[in-house]
Amino acid sequence: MNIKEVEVDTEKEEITIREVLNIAEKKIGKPFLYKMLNKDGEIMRGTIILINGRNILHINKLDSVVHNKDIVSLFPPGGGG
Amino acid sequence: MGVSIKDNKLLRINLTANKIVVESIDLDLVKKYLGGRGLASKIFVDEVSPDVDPYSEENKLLFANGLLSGTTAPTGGRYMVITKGPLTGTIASSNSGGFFGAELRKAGYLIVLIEGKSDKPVYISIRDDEVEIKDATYLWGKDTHFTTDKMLEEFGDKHARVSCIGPAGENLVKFAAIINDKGRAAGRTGVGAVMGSKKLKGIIVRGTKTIEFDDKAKFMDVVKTKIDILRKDAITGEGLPKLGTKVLDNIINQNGLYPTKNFQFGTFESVDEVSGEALVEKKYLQTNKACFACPIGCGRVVTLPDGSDGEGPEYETGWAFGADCGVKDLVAITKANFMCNQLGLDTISTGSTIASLMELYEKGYVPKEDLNNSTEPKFGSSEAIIYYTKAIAYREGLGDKLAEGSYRFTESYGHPEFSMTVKKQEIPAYDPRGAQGHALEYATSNRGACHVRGYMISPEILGVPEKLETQKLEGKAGWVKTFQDLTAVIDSAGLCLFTSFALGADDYRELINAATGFNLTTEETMQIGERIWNLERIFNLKAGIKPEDDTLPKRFLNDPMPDGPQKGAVVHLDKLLPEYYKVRGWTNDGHVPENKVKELDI
Repeated sequence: MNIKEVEVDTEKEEITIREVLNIAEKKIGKPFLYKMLNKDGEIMRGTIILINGRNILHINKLDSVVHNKDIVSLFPPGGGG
Repeated sequence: MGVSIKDNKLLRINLTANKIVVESIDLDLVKKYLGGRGLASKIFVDEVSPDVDPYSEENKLLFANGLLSGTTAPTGGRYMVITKGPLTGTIASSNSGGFFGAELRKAGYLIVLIEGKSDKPVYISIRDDEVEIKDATYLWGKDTHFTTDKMLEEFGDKHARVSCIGPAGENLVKFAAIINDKGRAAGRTGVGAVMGSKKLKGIIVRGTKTIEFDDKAKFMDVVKTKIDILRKDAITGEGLPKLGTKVLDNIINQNGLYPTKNFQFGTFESVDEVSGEALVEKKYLQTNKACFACPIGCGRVVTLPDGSDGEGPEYETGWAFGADCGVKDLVAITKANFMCNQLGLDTISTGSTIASLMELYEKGYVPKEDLNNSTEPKFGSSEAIIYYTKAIAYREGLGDKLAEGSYRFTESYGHPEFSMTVKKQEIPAYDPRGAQGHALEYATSNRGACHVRGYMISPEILGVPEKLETQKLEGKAGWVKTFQDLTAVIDSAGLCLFTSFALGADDYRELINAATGFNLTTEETMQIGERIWNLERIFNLKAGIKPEDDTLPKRFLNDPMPDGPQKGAVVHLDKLLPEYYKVRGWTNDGHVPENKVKELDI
């Protein structure tokens, strides 16, 4: 496991998190979205996707809008105590 | 030799009278309380007065297996220690994994009950039906690793398992742990100090019996189905085995409830230095490790650059000595963890008590002369976490005051508001301002602040079984009740709470029914949990804990979170608590009414 930081450049002022994830996957060159999204492309149970610390499930899911300089954090299902 | 899962024994050992008796446990009581935390708590409250002094001869100490401990049920290796705790004054129930519990069950005992008090150090040796009280004078003062090795040597069977205390338990540190298998801890509430007060250094056990079932094929079939669910689940099948609990550092920090510098902040700037990812990148992590019958294997085996090795740090420990003390030195954090295992200390309370000293010192409330020229307790000091951990275990210098826990320590300097505790037990690694349900869980936990009495982080942060908004209040009280009751069932069944990331009440019911032939419905299973919760609550109220103690430090109620994604948040306990009392069917002022006692047939 490694920490990956990827900067996503876009000409648009705002794009959806879905677009960000697809660009990031291409840029990293290693598929990871299959671990976070199910066959229907929905967010898998336990997957955590945050925009500036806020879970996108409480914004607009994969259609949540990302602005310039926002920080997106992705975590595959994990747990502990 | 086989023993039916329904034919359960209690091994009663009176250390004052040097007397050993084996008693049968009534099956009707097992149906009502299962085993472990539930059954042992019932036996404890029936035998011990709530006003008992935790260190007196009259207090009892029960090592209790869950009903399924020692079977092949997934994670069926948990045992619990039940007593009245010296840190909180509440009923204390501390849970541990490893292999000791399962070995004890295979020796034929669901519960070992220790009563009275020895006048010289002793340990208990159990070889199936052969039970002896042996002299432990030569082990007194020794750490848990030396003690374990010596007891094994004297016992002469390397397959035996040991649970023991270190110097901290002997010195009555109020948050001393009991350590089994060298790296697993019944950590919280000070159960190790009660063991120390009885001059009981340890228990060694070897069991060679098999547990039998009326319908073994059926039980094995259900076990197989549940293992399958756990293996296929993204958390229990992949997240926990691969990443361990320390994956949470970044998750909780990014969500803004990672308590930093004694809960002054909700994010830690050096998290990348101390996270689970750092443990891998720095090549300290060697492999993962599983407890008895566990298909998950979340344990971490770690070797440091100087060659020292051991289990951990887990998320809580890494945080307690790390972010909570402002320390970013993963080697020092891991060393402090190893020291706690060897000295027999609860890592959460040790780290958090040191953090409270750091805040008091930096704010000028602890005068420099009180340090007696020892290490300055400043946030970020690696030396301080190592120095004060040892000082606490041996009650050296300021360590003597710190050994009383952060509440009594900060109170002795006139500033208990800097103790991050509930009912005098230190709060674990989630700032309550960042998750309202989890905050309510801390405030109402029957053993003082605790994250594993109803882990609301699961729905509020991890999104399991479904994602709840952290700051919303509606419905949270009901969730907390359900989580608390279900956890009581899991503890009493002897399974690991981590199974609940994948399994639900129906799964636990099926396992219990298949093993015992009981015909519990899901509703009845959950009612067992509710019965246990209320039993503990009633004991605590009689022991002098007041409903007003269902609260949090003022910092969380009055001071908005200063940083991060949860900036501005406070805990709305004034709204959550009345709702909680209502869903529990208690009176408005938090007492358990007679009709609830009757309904639950406590």
